[in-house]
Amino acid sequence: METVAEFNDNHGFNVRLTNEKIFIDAAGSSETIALRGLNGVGLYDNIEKYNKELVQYKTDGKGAEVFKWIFLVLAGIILIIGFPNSVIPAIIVAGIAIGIPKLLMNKNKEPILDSYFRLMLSGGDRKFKFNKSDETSVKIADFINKVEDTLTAYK
Amino acid sequence: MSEFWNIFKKTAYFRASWHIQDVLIDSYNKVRYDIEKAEQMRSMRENRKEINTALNDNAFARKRKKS
Repeated sequence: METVAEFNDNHGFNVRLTNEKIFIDAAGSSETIALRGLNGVGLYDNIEKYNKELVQYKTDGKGAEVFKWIFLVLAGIILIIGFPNSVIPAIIVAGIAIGIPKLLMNKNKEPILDSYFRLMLSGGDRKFKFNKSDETSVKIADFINKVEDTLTAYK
Repeated sequence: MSEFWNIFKKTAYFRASWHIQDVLIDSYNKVRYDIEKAEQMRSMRENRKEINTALNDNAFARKRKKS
């Protein structure tokens, strides 16, 4: 059977569309879905979760920024009060002011929007999670477009 | 007979207090839920630019719109 569309998430998950079937291969499972049993496709974005993570990310970012400025001001005060002997301690405090927030923000990754596409089948549905900003998302979009082309009003 | 009315009174008190507790707990939960929802809506409005970007400014959305 000729492959019409295919995508792979580079973690062992592969979905392939042919003229009659959809083949889904994942680590430890394999499914084949007949297109005649497919009623529709759906897309869902988990905006609520993304928004929650975004709020947390921004809050952490603000905390790191406040920390940075407090220590930079402290470094300035140390420098002014004990100049010229306080240059090295001031540099150390300034280093802490810049280094620690950077370290914390590196650990705190920017949130990713979780998206799902759903194959609506007779007697249930099948949901697949994907990331829209990922490089494989173009292939997923193409796959969905091709699956949509197989949907008809009448048989 | 007076024993009957004593039990009746105790049961009535019990039921009334149970009902009042239910009303209080329900209103607390409802207010908390409403506050959470309002806060969520507020933060969503605040983050609408980032949310729109995450939803539409990507290769997936462009490829889907072409079809």
